[in-house]
Amino acid sequence: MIPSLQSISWRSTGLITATYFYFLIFAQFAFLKAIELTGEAASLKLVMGTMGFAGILGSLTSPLFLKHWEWKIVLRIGFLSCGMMAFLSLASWTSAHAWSMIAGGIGFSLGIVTVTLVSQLRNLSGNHHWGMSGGLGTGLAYFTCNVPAVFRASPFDQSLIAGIVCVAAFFGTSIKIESSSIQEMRQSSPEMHAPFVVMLLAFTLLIWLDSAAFFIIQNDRELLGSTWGSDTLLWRNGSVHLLVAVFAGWWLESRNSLSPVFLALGILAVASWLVNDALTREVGGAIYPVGVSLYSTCLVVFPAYWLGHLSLHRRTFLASLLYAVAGWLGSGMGIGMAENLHRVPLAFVMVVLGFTGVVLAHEWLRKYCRELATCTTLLALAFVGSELQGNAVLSSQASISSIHNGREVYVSEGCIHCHSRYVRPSEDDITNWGPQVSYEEALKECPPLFGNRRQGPDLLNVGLRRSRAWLKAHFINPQLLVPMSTMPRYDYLFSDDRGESLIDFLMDPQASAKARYETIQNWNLTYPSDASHEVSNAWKLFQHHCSACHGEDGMGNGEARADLARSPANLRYGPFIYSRDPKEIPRILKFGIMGTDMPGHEYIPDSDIIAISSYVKSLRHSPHSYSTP
Amino acid sequence: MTGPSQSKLIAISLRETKRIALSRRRAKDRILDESIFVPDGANTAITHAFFWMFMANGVGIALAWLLLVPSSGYWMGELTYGRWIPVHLNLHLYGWTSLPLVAWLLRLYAPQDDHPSAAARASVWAWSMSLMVGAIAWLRGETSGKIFLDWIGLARVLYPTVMLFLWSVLFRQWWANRQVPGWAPVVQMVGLLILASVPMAVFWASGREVYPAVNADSGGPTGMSLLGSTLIVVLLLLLVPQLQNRATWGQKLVIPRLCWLTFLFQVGIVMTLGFHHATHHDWHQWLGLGTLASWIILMPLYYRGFLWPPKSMRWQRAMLFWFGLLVATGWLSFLPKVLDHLKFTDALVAHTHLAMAGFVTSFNLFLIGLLAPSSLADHIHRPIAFWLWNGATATYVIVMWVAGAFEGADPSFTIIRGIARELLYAIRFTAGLVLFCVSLIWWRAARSAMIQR
Repeated sequence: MIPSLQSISWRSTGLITATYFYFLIFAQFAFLKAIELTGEAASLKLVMGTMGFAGILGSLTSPLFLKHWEWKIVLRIGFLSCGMMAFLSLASWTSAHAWSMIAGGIGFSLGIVTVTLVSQLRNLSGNHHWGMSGGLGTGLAYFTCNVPAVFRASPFDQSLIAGIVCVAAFFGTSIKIESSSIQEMRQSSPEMHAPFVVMLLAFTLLIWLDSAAFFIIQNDRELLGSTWGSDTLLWRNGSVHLLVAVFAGWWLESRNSLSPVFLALGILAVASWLVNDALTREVGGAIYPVGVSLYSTCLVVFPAYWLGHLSLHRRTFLASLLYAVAGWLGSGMGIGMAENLHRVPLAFVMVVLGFTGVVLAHEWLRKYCRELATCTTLLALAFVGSELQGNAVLSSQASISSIHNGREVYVSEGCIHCHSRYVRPSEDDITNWGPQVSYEEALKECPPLFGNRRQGPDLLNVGLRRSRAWLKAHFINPQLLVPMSTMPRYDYLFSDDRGESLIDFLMDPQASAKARYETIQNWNLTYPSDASHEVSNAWKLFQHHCSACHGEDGMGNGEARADLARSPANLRYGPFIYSRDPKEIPRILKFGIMGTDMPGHEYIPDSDIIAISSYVKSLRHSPHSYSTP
Repeated sequence: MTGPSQSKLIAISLRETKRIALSRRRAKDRILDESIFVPDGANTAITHAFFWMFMANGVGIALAWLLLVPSSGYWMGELTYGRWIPVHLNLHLYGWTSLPLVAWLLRLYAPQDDHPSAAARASVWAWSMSLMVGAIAWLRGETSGKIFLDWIGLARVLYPTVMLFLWSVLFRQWWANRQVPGWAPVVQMVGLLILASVPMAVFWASGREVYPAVNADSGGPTGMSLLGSTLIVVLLLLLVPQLQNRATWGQKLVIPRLCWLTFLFQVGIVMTLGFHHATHHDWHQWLGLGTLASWIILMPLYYRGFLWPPKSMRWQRAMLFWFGLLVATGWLSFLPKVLDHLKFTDALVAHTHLAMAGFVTSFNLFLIGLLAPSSLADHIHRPIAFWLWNGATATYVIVMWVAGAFEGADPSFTIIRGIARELLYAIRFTAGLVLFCVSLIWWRAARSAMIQR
């Protein structure tokens, strides 16, 4: 159900917006920029440390203030103090101590304001929709900060606006509350299924991740540009923040569920991992606002309503603990991590995701605890067993060659599922794939890699049929050299030494070149009774099998030539011009030229060989007059 | 023939007919009254089996798609076709093929007091966990390089460890039931002794240094290896009615005796000809393998002698049909000239799918139909899913056979993708998609049956 405008507490919404706005645009942004502009950038660490320390102090001492004074007075003093700090920062202070003192004031005031506001929010909201107030207040703050005019304003202007907002909030707190509504609200307080400690840990991790990701984005010019670089991006971010925050508020209230907290944790964990890598940074930057808005709404709504069934004193104490530990300490940890490691470590992301998984699946885990215990025990036993076995294997191994490594790569990549390494004692197999190697020899390998499928050629005698350069080019982009090949790309193997090792293994001679040479010389081309169709198809066949290296017009200028050791032959003016043996060109087409980059086309039918051969000859005989169909 | 003797004969004949009819009715009543007791562990194993079938089929259609549109795999980085294949094969073998047999074992060794066994359930979960660890390892490129025996490293130790744990669960249940009168505890103990060797056998066979006898002319298995492995399936088929205690009716002992004698004779052939390297051109090999053809007739006769729940007959007939076809085509494919033509081609893919999607699946569903709670059994026996599955399997097998025949004549048929190849592979993908959808329906049914319990 979507609440009407009248059912939303606009006073609560406004105060939440004011607090978040102050924190986002001033404390986290304009204030630090102002320090940088006055040439005191070196003292930023000190200033931020002071702010964090004062924030913890302010949060933790809030319950004391609330014990002795009325909450409205505390909140007013807090807002007034925040405003004063904003106005004070307008002066161009040149002393690090002065900036630190202001930072202390900001942190302390914010600590008091946040704890007081969230612990009294139910009093402020009355019977209105609390979730929507929290969501809308948070969303509006983020949205306003992303309005280009505000976002691009000078630090001076931003501080000024923040100060004015605080003054407005100061006056916004002086509105009467009906006491009966408080009783009613207390009864309708949602039940909290997870212990407070779990929620505290969840929020700490959230703010930790948020701060780390924010710091990484801020310090990467390219990423900063792709996240907040244009007006369109700013409007997009602002809208996403607003929509997600409102949605989170609605979700929290209508479902009485804290799931958004853990969803936000998952999103932020993934986003902070993605911003580590240049390739995935943009995606990380795009999903980051979603996670931030989700948890920011929860951070307001959770202490206000999920702790609502507790006494005022206890609620305030827990809220102060939440903001001191999760808010200030989590933020400090996140910035520290990003500053020192320049990335969010995968291990940390995994811990966060693991924690999220455990919390979300705790019911399931409780139900299947026996099964899980059994699995864990067996896994541990097997791990010990495999470690012992692995050590025994390692100690028995002699020096490992590149060919051996290549063989491991061959096994590891599952090449046996598409390629055989076994030439059968049949004429066709020997002609196509090279000399046979006896099965006794093959069985000496552990394990023998006979394979049982030929989606591609047999790979026993590759060294007699292909060159290193051709193999490498083919691994990197198979479809460049064999356009209709189903072979996957293995370019990643060349990011380390796996690719070269694999080539070493494939090039390792299994049979003698002499035997292969004899087969090639004894080969007889089978002429089909009617080759007219194939000949008419010759141009197409040439483009398919030859143009990648020799070029579309046979000039030796194909796309793949750069990858080969020597430039491919120019078929119009090249060496074949003087060829007198009619079998030579078909033979080269079929078997390639051993020791060069010219590969064979062993698997294509003789009719196609004849057709391509005719085409190549036609290029030779009339190099200038041949026209493509 | 005289008048009185003729009337006497008619009277005897009528009496015999009445006796058979009565025996059949009693047996039927027994079936109808039989309340199916499904132990908790067996039920879990059935659910997990369907899950792995669904997963394996999902990987299967992804692979079929990659062969049609190879460029769609570029975004997967290192998770290339070759790394997914062992996942597809092994999830089928160690998940879908094995877990129904685990369910059967847990049913056979079930405690008499009907007490739900947490350890049995845990052993099934552990089985699935070991498969998951294996799948992760294969995707990481960790494999022994031996098809269907890819276990290596942690997974190679874990899988037999889980098997040992399952064995200990069975042993515990046997121990609790050992005082039961009759031969059952003795038979079960013999079964346990045989099963005890399986974990070690799997560990040993996964080793890289171990390799079976080779057919030098094809690079594949010898006739005797194929005969030996098929005889294990035959043994299983012979044991199902016996161990399920199915009632017999009107069957003379001659058929079961003939079946067991044939089985022993074939075991004798394997023992005599041995597991040494031999080619398919050796007449001993293809003739020995040819003796399996006897089962095309014997097995249906054998199964006809037992009484089965009427609903289970659909899958039983499918099982016997696919088994017969598997034996017949398997032998034909092994013959000289034929194997020379079909080796390394898609015909092998056809044969594998005939075995797994055709025979194994129908066998499993027949068995699960006997073991599962009625809500799931009803689902399995629904005609739509039955015909969709078998129709898609038949299409798949025929298409791959055709592709294999073309490829045998011209290797470029597969290596260079032409229109004919693309068309056949598109049909194959569609058939795979149907298999995937049906397996999803079955898995969902198994899950809801589990939840209802």
